[in-house]
Amino acid sequence: MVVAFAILAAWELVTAAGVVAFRRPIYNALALVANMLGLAVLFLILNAQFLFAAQVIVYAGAVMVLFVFIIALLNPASDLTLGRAGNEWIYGLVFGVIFAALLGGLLFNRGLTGRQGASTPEAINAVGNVQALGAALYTKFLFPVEVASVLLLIAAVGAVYLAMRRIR
Amino acid sequence: MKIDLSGLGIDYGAILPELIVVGTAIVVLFLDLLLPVARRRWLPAVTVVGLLAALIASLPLWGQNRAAFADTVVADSLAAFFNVLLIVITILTVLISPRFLRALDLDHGEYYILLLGATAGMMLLAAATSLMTIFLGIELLSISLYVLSGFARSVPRSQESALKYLLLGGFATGFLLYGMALIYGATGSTTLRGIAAFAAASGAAGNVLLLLGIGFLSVGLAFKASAAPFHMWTPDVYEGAPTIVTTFMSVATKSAAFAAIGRVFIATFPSISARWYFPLALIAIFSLFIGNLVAIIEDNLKRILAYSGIAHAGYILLGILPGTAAGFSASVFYIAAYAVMNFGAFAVVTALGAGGEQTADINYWRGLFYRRPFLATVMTIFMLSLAGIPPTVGFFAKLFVFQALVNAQIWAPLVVAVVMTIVSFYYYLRVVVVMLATPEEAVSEQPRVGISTSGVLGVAALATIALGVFPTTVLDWASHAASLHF
Repeated sequence: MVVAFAILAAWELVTAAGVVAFRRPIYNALALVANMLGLAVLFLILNAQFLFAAQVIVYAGAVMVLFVFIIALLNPASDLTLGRAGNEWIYGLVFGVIFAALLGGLLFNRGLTGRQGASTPEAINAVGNVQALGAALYTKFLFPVEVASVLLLIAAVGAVYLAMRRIR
Repeated sequence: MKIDLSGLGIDYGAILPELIVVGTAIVVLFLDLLLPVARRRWLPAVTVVGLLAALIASLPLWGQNRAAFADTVVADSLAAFFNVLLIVITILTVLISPRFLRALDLDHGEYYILLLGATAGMMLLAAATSLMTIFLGIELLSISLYVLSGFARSVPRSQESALKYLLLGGFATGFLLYGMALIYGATGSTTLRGIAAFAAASGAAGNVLLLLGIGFLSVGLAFKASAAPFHMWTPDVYEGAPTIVTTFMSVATKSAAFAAIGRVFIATFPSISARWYFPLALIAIFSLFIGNLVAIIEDNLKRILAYSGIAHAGYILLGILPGTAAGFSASVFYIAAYAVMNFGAFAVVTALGAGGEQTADINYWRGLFYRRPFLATVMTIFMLSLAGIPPTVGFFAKLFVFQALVNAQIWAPLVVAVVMTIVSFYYYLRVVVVMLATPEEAVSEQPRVGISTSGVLGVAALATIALGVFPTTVLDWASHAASLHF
């Protein structure tokens, strides 16, 4: 399990770097697809089969297909003139290394002690994966789910406003 | 499987103000669709009516402690206090909006919908007692504000500010979410009550996972409160966004963010205050230094006010440092005072901008007393209050925070704060001096500001002075609201 996690974590890091490092939009999008798929497999090794399926279908599938189609159809490469990459990435690298060293030092010296929540594998297997998720969403997390719907409504209004051509 | 809803605490009364605000947003959405263009001025009226209803619905929550929906939100005095504060700010914003929007040809119904969405998010953030609702509240207010800062679609500066805010905001959200995930990993709970219980037990102060989580969570919250060194977006976004949006954003976002900071640090993690005291003190000192020192060299009034807002975030954070309800009540009072005076200052910039004038540059303000005596007078009041000169509310806000620090025997941040307050006199009084200077050219005829705008400005100026003369009532409310506990 640890080996599987290590491989997946490395995959996630490399593909995430690819999302920002590639110079052509279509490669960025494809790297994001790879990243999302890795995330789905992470869900799978955590025994969250339903989330795995949802992640593959919704994100890696539907959302990213839209991204790739739009990039392929509109060909923004012709509108985009990316200047030569500046030297900003050096700052990012320096601070990233410092940050990682601090984190690493802390973790190796002190170790991590987590605490399991209510949803242990045994508890989930007793009722079933999808049932457990559904019950959590519509009981314990009922209010956040409803707020998320408001969030989506407001986001849709904002997106339509920004995307519409000159109106009225 | 059987689903049991009995212990869930479904309590619509506890979230009634938020429900009314969201409901008003939906009504405005449909009205915007159905009303003919000539009737579009109904939209701000409907918005104000909805907000007034939400204001009335907030009042019964005062003095209660109603945890609702499986501990994800609470209806208590702090929530009621911030509901009233945020709704009043929004109402005042809506009252001065139509004139400004028409002047810039931005009179679209979406403005009111997004404003209501942002208000609902902020109210939710102030009432949130679960990591999930804190996150959703922040996202709701952020997404609304991303679009609002880019509301002037044909103005490149506005678009630039929206993009900057979106990218940096997304980055900060990453930190916030990572921190929440780590806190959940350490404590096994998403509700603040459960997390507080874990933190109160022995061994929590040495739990690396929990401390890292708190650190990342603080970064995300400090970004929203625009405290240094997470303030980089503030001057550019404030400058580029339409002034009316900046007015709302600078005041309301900071208030809501500090309500959440109070709930997290004062109510949830008082037991490990020795761990978060130093980083938080550092953020406060950074904010005081950067805000006050950079404001001196700026020549654009929106940028001066942005840096002054960063400095004020530092003062508000000082009240959190003692980790007690008494200190937090000074912060809550400061937030209310800051809301009144900073709203007023930006509203003056907005009022000048309603004539489509190039107003943000300080040279434009030269001799304003001779051209617009009313605007210049209220601006002077707001500037004196922001500087903290008696008998304005800004003086007492600073006094109470300093008092809280003395009581808690916290000296180093106090010394920095006092010195930086004296430094801040320079740039606040500079604005007053510039307005008093003799104008270089002949006075030309200026458009009038309109009744609603001057009414709002007058109310804000009166409140700035009245609260400075009688600060005790609001201080009592603030200390009642700040007595948080789980």
